[in-house]
Amino acid sequence: MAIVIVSSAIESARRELAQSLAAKLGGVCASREQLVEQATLAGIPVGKLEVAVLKQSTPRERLARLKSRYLSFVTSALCDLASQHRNLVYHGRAGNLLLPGVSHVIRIRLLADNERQLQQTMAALNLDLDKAKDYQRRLKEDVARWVHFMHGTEVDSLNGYDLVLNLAHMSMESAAAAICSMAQLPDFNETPASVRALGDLCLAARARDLLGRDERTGDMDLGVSAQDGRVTVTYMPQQADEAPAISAVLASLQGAREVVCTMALTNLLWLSESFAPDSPDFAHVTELAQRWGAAVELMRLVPQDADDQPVCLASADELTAAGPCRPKEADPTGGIEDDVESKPSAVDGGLAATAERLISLGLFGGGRTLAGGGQEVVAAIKSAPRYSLVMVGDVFMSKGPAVRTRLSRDLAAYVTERITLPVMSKEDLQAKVVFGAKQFSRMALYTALVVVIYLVVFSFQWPIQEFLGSPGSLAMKVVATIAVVSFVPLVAYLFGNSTGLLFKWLRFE
Amino acid sequence: MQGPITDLFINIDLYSALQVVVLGFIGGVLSGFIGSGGAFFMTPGMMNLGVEGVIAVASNITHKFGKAMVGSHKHGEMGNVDKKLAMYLLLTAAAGIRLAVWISSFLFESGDTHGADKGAGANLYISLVFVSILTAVALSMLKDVLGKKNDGGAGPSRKMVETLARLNLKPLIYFKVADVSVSLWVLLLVGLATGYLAGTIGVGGFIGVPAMIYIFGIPTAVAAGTELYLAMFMGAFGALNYAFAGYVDLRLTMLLYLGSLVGVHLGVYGVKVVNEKVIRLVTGVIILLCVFSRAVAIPVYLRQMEMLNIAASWDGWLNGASKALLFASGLAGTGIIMVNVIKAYRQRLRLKRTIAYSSQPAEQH
Repeated sequence: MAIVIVSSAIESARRELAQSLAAKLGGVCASREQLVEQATLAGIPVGKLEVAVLKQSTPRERLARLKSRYLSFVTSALCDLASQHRNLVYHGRAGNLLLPGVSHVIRIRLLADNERQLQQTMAALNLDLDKAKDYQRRLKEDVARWVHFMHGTEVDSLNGYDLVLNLAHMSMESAAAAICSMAQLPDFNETPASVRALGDLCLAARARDLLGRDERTGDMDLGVSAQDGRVTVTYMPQQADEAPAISAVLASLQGAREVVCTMALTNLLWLSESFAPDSPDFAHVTELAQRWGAAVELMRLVPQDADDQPVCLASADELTAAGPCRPKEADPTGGIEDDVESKPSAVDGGLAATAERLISLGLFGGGRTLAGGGQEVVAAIKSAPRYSLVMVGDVFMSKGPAVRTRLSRDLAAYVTERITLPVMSKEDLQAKVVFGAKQFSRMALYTALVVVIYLVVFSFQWPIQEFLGSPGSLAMKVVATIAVVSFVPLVAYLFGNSTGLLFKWLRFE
Repeated sequence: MQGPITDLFINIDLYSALQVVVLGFIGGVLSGFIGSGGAFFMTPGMMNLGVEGVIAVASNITHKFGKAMVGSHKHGEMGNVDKKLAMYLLLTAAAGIRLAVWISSFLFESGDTHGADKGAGANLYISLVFVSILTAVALSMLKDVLGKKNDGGAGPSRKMVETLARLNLKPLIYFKVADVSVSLWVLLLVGLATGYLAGTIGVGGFIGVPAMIYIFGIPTAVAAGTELYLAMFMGAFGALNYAFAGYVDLRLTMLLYLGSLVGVHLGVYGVKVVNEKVIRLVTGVIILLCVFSRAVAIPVYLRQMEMLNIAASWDGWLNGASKALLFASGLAGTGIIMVNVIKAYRQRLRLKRTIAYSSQPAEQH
């Protein structure tokens, strides 16, 4: 079975290639335009959504909800097509981002022949050369804006593509033949892991689609993920009254082993090469998540050239996780593969076991494996804007302690510079979360200093006010001014830290 | 103690100190909840305790400076601060504050009597600006909330953003963190208004935050974080000016901290657990009640300036009514917030986050 996704801003070029390819593979051809039509018929105002994205004229919350509905519909529709047909060729603007983490999907980027496209535009729209160029430029800008909004990535980014074909240098027929040959490679064969990843993606998408269609849950802001047939839905505390409807709506969801609903304000992203549910890090992360009312999303970061190939056990969020996760369950040899269910727990760095524990705590927000470094992490984070904190745990485990420390620090710094979210090392998190003797001492010290300062000021209140308020020489006024603007922040800092620690102690954050 | 200092600064006993702490607490809860300074409550509250308007504003803006310095650092860690936007706004906000301080000081100094009547002109001016600006803010906020369908996620109106986008007033400046492009002229105008109001009534955030949301079109969290960052500089500038003029009552500033730095934690927690529409509704009503409270005190200043012929004995009643209204609004708003905070906190402890769970038999596809 082959799933080929062709991406290009030029619809005519990708359509021509996809149809040719589908004919060669003996499969079905589907397009973005068809799915848009189906989505519109299903009640999703895609046209209005496009206009709103381009003009930014609709409240962001509503746009985000429409985006979520649209993406889940498209993913779900693709899953249906993939399950009905042996071979599927889909073409769209950035279709490579639609089925992240499924290794038997071939993602093709098509670069159209500019000259040819200009000629076609001039002929189709009866435009002169300059106007045709302007039309194409604006079209590309609109597509770039749409892709940025939908997937949080740039349309020109080549991350996640398996092949880039330039039609200026080859014919359409040759391009189709090249992809056909590529589809036969063992690298793109189905594996138990890739089938499971696709199944989870589809399940989550169908769940989100069902929730979006139902009027009881259609307006809720939900995070939906699936792992091994278990669907986790996170919702905001303000929506607690409507939350029981989630289970009722998902009662008709086929293929789900169970549905877990978790209340969460936000997601904490835990980035690590290995996880352990009985580790101190796990305790710290879950403690913080419980305080913040957050769900924990696991992202296992493995080197691009790791010997143990990354395994996508679950999608973080079927709607937005569009990072270049490239799962491979087994080293493809080209020979006959054993039809045996793999054991992901042996090679997944504790991802599955940790996810299991988080689910039981009602704190699971998704889990995935990502191959690469800082660039890939940033792309993945930008595609899922629900995070409020990124925690960098144990990464670069194959390196020595010194190198590991330096690389971890570099990774955190790289990510910090590129995203507008707090990024913490596990040491920072421990310092923030744990309220031990050190924190208690700090609280006591700050409080004592505050008490002393207040006693002094109120014991000598009139001399102080006389100094600050009486007209005097210019020099005295300057000294009084400097005293006020230096002293006040100090009081705010000391008392602010004192109360902050007190509320942390009371677990009231 | 007798002398000019006692004319300028009130005597603070335990009872009045506790009242200032309560003002700070309510202001802190409201500021944590609403995202604006909370000065709309604290400034008139202190004036009702007999503090001169200019002293109340000076002490509050100094309090705000220190608080904003700590708060903006935390917001910065969360990625909610667009420093570039704040710097642009600051350019004209500084001029706005200088203008405000000059007007307030001029009116206070030009009072030709002593004691309470000396500051009547400045008090009247501050009260009139307070009433007119906050009436407009509260009514537009309520109109925006009540005019929307109950979809639970109604975002702020973008009409002004779209209108300005159509006008295309160049040069446009792009702000990366907020992810918006704004005309330089609009930026400067909003900065001037924010600075003027911060310097006059200590509530620049009531113009700055709505302007950033409704005029610039930036996300609410970034608006609040950027405003706090801006408030740090404006507060510093205001504090410098007022401290140089000798109007800062350090005792009031410190007492405000005792309440506000506790209250702000609870207010922020309240935002997480209360529906956004309810947040804006509660905010609008609280501001409107504060406006009534200040409006009731205006006849007192008019009488002190001999512009209104009423008996001096009315001063006590009118000040009392103003004080009662202010405290009623603050206490009611804080009460609503605190009820929700405590409810959510208890629920969180009891249910440990997971409140719904269902399981169903698998039907494999």
